[in-house]
This record gives sequence, structure tokens and C-alpha cells, in this order.
Amino acid sequence: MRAADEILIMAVRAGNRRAFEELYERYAVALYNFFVRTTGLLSFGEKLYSILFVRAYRAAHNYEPRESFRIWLFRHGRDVVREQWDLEGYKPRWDETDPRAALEIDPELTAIGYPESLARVREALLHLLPTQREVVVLEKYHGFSLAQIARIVRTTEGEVRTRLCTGMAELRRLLVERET
Amino acid sequence: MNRDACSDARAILPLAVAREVREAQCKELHHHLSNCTACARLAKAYEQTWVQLEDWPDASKPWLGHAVVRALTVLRPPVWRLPRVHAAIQMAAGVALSVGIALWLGGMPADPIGPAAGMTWILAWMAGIAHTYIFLMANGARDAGRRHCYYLAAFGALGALALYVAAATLCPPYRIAQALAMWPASGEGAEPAGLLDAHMSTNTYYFFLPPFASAWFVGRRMPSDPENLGWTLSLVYGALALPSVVLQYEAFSAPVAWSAAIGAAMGAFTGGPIGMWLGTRREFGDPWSVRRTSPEHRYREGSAYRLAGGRTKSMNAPKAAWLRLFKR
Repeated sequence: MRAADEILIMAVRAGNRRAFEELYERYAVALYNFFVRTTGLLSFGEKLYSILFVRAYRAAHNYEPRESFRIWLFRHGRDVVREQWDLEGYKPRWDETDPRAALEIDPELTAIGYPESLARVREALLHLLPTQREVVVLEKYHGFSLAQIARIVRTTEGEVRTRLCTGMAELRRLLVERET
Repeated sequence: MNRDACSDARAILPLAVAREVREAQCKELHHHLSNCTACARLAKAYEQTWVQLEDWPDASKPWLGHAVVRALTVLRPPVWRLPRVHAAIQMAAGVALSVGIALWLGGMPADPIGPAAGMTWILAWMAGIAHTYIFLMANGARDAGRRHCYYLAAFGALGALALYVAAATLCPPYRIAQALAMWPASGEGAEPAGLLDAHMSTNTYYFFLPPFASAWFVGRRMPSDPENLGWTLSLVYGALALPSVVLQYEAFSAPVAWSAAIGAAMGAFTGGPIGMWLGTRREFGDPWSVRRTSPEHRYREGSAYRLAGGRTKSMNAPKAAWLRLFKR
């Protein structure tokens, strides 16, 4: 029987490393894709997810059972992206509104094929403000509800709703209206 | 075509494609879309956008794979926990312990309603405030957004020292000694004026440094449940504050011991619930956080974008606006 995430993280708190391996197996790919889609960079995504899991392991004793582990982990992941982007010296900084530097073609993406449709979606997503992009990614690719996203990005549900609407309007302009 | 209905529908179209509208709203929207071609076209565009996002498929598993987990297994899990104790039991134990120590060291107070007892209650009240203060600081210690707690403590300590220096410089020492003539611990009245330096310095130490040190070195490493936080911090704070009590007063006199006991009880009963309240608030977001309440945060988190028409160019826009003003 599959143990709940919350039980596993409590086992990690008690020093059980196998439980952490199990959690890693469950969330490595999801978090990796979250990082790649929010930053647009494969290698950076790899670095971020390794940083995240080390941090999650160290912070396991701060986990509160009242909260969903998945939300807790993604909240740490979101913090890691924001911190590491600026620490790595990517320009412009994460909180600035126009991260066009990330639009440069990632050589690793080119190496794996980089179909044109993917390029178009990636470019459109990276044109969004980071605060809008993370909301769209969490909603579309990870299936979080607005209330859950609000807890991940530490804001109100109304603010998340606004970001999703403005982000979707921008994506529509870039993906659909540009074609027509 | 009803313009209000159209604007209402368009406001929720992005949410509708993400399945984030209520059923009643969804029905209204479908009804409107069946009657309005412009909105229906827009809805179709949103649906296309939503579907196109799937062109970015999930990447396969990162190559680092188990390397991360294997690397972690050489680390010792940083788990440091005391046994979980219910808050009420902890408070009762704290009160029993402190009253027991008071009885052991000082015996029963000879005159529980005399002036000495009044001073004891004032001391107890001050100690209660200090204990509450620890909880607030320790709760702030785990959140980078509330590091201002430490600055507050540091500036508080500096401010108290400055006040003391000003008072000692401006007031003749005998007046301060006269003011302390009601002090019960000495039993003789005023403290010798030569002890004033030590007295005021240790007051500063008692109120600011132990909370600061216990919150900084212990609080941020503690698990976040407030019961354990209170339990451990009380011990650490007590150990740190003890030298000041010994230095300051006639060692272990009854009023001092009683004031410490009453203060610990008050601290437990005020700080404990506040700690629990903070823990509960943390689950739903912390209204005291600098990051949530500062103008900079509100700006960054989007409300200022909307106020600026949704098209603010950069996070340095306010700064740029000021610079433009000065250039003119």
C-alpha cells in the first residue's frame, strides 16, 4: 500500500532515509519540470531540483503535518527558483518584469530536438512576468487549485486569480492572436 | 449584446478554461457564449491557448537521479526535537517548577501584602513581559521575512544603554539611590550608589540579551510547534538570565525568587497562547511578515501592477520615477 506523503515526511523527521528516497521518487520529475518551465533552462532546472531536495531534507523538521506535503515542497521549490536565479547572476533579476535573457536558445534543449511548437510555448511563457508564469505553470502542468497556489506563492487567492487571468490573456495574445 | 454581460464573461474566461469557476458561473457563461459570437470567439482562443501549452511536454527524469539522495544519506538528519508535550501540561509544569524553586530558595514571603510584595508583583509583571517577548522573537526567528525582530532587540538594548548613560550623567546618583529606597530585596532601603552601574547594566542584560540570544541560537533551529518552542526557550532563557539575577540582588532573597516564579507563570500563560496563535496564523499566512505588509512587497506581488495599469516596466519603476522628477 502506498503511504501518504505526510506519513513519509514524518518518518524522515524521525531519521528514516528510505522514506526520503520514496518522496524523492514521487516528486523529482514534477519538481524538475516545474523548474525547467519557470526558468526555461534545462541545466539550471537540474541544479535547482538538487538544491531543493537537499533543502527539503534539512528542513523536514519544520514541516507541519497540518499542511499538505506537496504544497510545502512546491513552496520551497518556488523559493529556490527565486533565490537561485539571482544568486546565479542571470539578468535581469527574477523580480524584474522582462526576463528576456532566458529567451536565448538553451543548447541542451536544442540537443534534444527542440520542436518548434515547444519553442513557441516556451517563448510565450517566458514573456510572462515571473509571478504570472509560476501561477500558470502550477495551474496548468501541476493541477493545483487557486487556493493551493495561493499557499505556495504566499499570497491571496484573489491575487492568484488576477495573475492567472492576466497571464492567460498575455499567452492568448502571443500564442493564438499572433498566429492569426 | 449586453456590454456588462460581455465584460463579466470575459473576466472569467481564463478561469473557465482552467476549470476554476463555480458551476453556477459556468452555466451562466455557457448561456452567454451561446448568444454572443464575439465572446465565443474569445473563449475559443483561450481554449486553444490552454491546449497549446501542452506542446511543452514533461521532461524525463533528470540525470542526477539518485545521486542527490545518495549524497543526502551521508548527511546526518538535522532533527533536534524534545518530546512533544501538551501545552497545558507544560505550563503547569513550568509554574510548579518555578514556585517550587521559589519556596526552596526563599521560603514563604514574610509579608505577602506589604510594600515588598508590591515590588515583587511589579518585577513579576516585567518578567512576564520579557517571557512573552521571547516567544514573539523566537517565532520571528524562523522566518527570514521577520528578521526585523532581531534588529528591534538590538536597537532596544542600545536604546536602554543610552537612556541609562543619559540618566546617570544628568541625575545626581543619590537621587537614583533615593528612588530605589523602596527596594525590598536589600532589606535596608537604598542600594549603595556604587552599585547603580551594575544594576542598570544588568537590567539591560536581563531584558534584551537573553531573549535575543535564546531566539537567535535556539529558536530558529527549533521545530515549529509552539509547545516545544516554549519548553526549550524557557529553559535556555532561564539559564541565560540567572547570572543577572545573582549579580543584581541579594542572592536568592524571597521577593526575588517569588517575582521570578510569578513572572515565569505569567510568561507561560501569556507567551504560550501567543506562540500557539502565531503557529496557527502561520498556516494561513502571517500578517506580521514584512514581506506581506511592506509597500515593496505589495508592489512586487502585483497589486501595484494593476494600479499602474498592469504595464509597469520594471521593479525599479518607483525609483526611476523619482529620478525623472529630479532630472526635471
